[in-house]
Amino acid sequence: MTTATGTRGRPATTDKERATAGRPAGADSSRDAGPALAVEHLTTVFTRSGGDVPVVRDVSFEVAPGGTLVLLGESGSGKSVTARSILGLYGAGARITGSVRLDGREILGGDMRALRGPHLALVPQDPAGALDPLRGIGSQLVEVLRTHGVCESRAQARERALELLALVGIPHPARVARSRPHELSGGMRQRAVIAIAVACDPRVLIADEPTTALDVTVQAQILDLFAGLQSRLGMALILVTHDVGVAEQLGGGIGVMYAGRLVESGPAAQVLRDPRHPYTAGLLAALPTPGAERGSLAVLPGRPPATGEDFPGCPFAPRCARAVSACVQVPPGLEPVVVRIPEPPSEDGALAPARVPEADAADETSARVRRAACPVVAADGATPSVTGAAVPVADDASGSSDASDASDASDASDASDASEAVVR
Amino acid sequence: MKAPLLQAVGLTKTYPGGVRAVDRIDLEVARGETLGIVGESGCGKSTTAKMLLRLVDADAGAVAFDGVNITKVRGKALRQLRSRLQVVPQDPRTSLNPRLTVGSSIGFNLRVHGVGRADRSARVPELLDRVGLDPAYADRYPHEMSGGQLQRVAIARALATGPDLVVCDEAVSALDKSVQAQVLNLLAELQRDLGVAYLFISHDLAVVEHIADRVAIMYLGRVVEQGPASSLWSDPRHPYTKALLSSVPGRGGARTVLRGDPPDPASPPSGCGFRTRCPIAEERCAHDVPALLAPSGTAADGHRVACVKEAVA
Repeated sequence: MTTATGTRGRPATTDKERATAGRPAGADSSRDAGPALAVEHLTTVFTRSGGDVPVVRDVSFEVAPGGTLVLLGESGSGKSVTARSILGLYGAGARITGSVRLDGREILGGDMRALRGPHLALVPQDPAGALDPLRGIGSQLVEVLRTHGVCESRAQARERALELLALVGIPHPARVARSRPHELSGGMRQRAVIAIAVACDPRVLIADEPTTALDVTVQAQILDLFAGLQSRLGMALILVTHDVGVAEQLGGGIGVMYAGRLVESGPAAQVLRDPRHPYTAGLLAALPTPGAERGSLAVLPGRPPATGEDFPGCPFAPRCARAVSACVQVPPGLEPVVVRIPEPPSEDGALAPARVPEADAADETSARVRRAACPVVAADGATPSVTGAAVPVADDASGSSDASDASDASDASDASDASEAVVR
Repeated sequence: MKAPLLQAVGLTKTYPGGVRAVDRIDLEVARGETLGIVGESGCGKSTTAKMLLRLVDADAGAVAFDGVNITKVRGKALRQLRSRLQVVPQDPRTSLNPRLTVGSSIGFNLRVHGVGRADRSARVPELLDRVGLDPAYADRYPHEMSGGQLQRVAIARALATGPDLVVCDEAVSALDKSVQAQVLNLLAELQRDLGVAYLFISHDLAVVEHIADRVAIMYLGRVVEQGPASSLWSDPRHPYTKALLSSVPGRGGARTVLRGDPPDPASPPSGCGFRTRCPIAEERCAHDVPALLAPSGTAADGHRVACVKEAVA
């Protein structure tokens, strides 16, 4: 997780795995208790004739079994490419480095074809483009079930297909199974795509803007469906979105991306209520809120660097009101920030009352720790006047159930991490 | 209330195949105000805009612009009308000619409305400056500019003829949130300085709440509720408006998740169009189309709702 060393940082992660091994059983006890998916130093470079275009830069995060991570960012921030890199959907045109581990097993560069389906599955933005327009929904589900060997016989697969359609809340499964995609509404099509994605009971479901093409009342239905499926199937969810409201609704962990980098991460409720990175704060301030005077929305000056543009320091520095001279020289790592306002973990879900409670119970491995890629902000948190009231920065999921138990040692090391970041 | 700048009465449009996109709607926009139109896809909000702009002819109903019925105007009169009635479309990348510099695109709108070459070359830099762009951008092509910059160009083009009303059809929906804030601020500033009225169509409730003075909520071709933005948000009366507001993610509060999808506009349900998804529908809702009436217990602020269970009989 930590990018402090700048290299692979394997030993630190091994420590963390040991620490998380003692995590109380979450939603899924059938499999081991480490993170379902651990991404480290993921870097995706598109190789073009005109030169290399780095799109994802040194991104690290973890998702616990049954946990939720939202990747939030504006267009060109690299959030979708991150998701698709994990799924191995890029061919020879992309150079992907770093590490992606599924239940502790390295999958980057391996046979992704065997993993997609039973281990990793994708729900894309546009359900119409994801379905074969000429075939019935049921037949497309049967194909998935047969290809991955979930069902022995065709008859079994047909039966299972109907169960899956019912599972995702489709009212008349038998009729919908016979329908072609164009005969269904956008919401129903997205449900059908989700049924296909969860057909093999994947360990991690990756959803790329799954509700962006849908109307808001239908979006509400689909977000509820994700929460319900997670609690029933125990799968982890990585959801890519540009919509702050969707991130808030889903809860769990959040990673905010800017110019290919993860600039802030932590529990969604905390990050969105009390953003630390100047970009996150600026993004949230730009949203129209009730009572904001017309014409006076806070505006981030300038615009993001062009995709692949090279910058020596922090990509946000040219737009950042708090930038100091060091910001344009050294790229900041994602370091823990000290949280000043103690927040009982039970309040995490307070902004998402409609969420299924069981899904909340699943611990989000990386969701417990607040991190920001900004040395200036890290320095804020370390000021002596506020550290007294600080909640210890728990280094793993176990911190949620017993925050007081977080050892002094880890607290101290976090503090030193932060100050180290300042020095650099 | 001042005499409305634009008044539509009984506007109806049925597309071939029996799709009743817009069904007898009434709208009013006063000078210098912003009317927001909110609705989900297929509710008829864009068809309404096209009828007001005379891009689509209405089957029935009338539109008065500054006291003149514009539903039948043609030729020169229609061109003159359009200089006062402009549009900012959703996607500037498809609405700006990729082979013209943005300066030429803005100048073209002036040329169509009879502005001479010398005046044009003076006005274009002025307009770019007005929307916060460096006048040097006049020589750029659309592909050299960002989405936010292009939307500023589209706004400059719409303002070129000094319109009284600008229809913004999902004008900020394609923009990233940080850019959207810039464009919303610009629209508000232009309204303050130039007194232009907006018909602001959007599916984004937070944006409409921010920019609009009054709001009309559409469902299945009809206006189901309208009134001042403040009273609609604080005291929504129509069950659809309530569900819509509570569906906005991250808003908190109790959520009403509607069942099912909006009905097919080609075969709408009898009576109230919302009754098939309505949590409080009764038998009588299937018989009559509810009229847009003042809801019980509100101030006389123009709040209207089309629901038999809310309106004063």
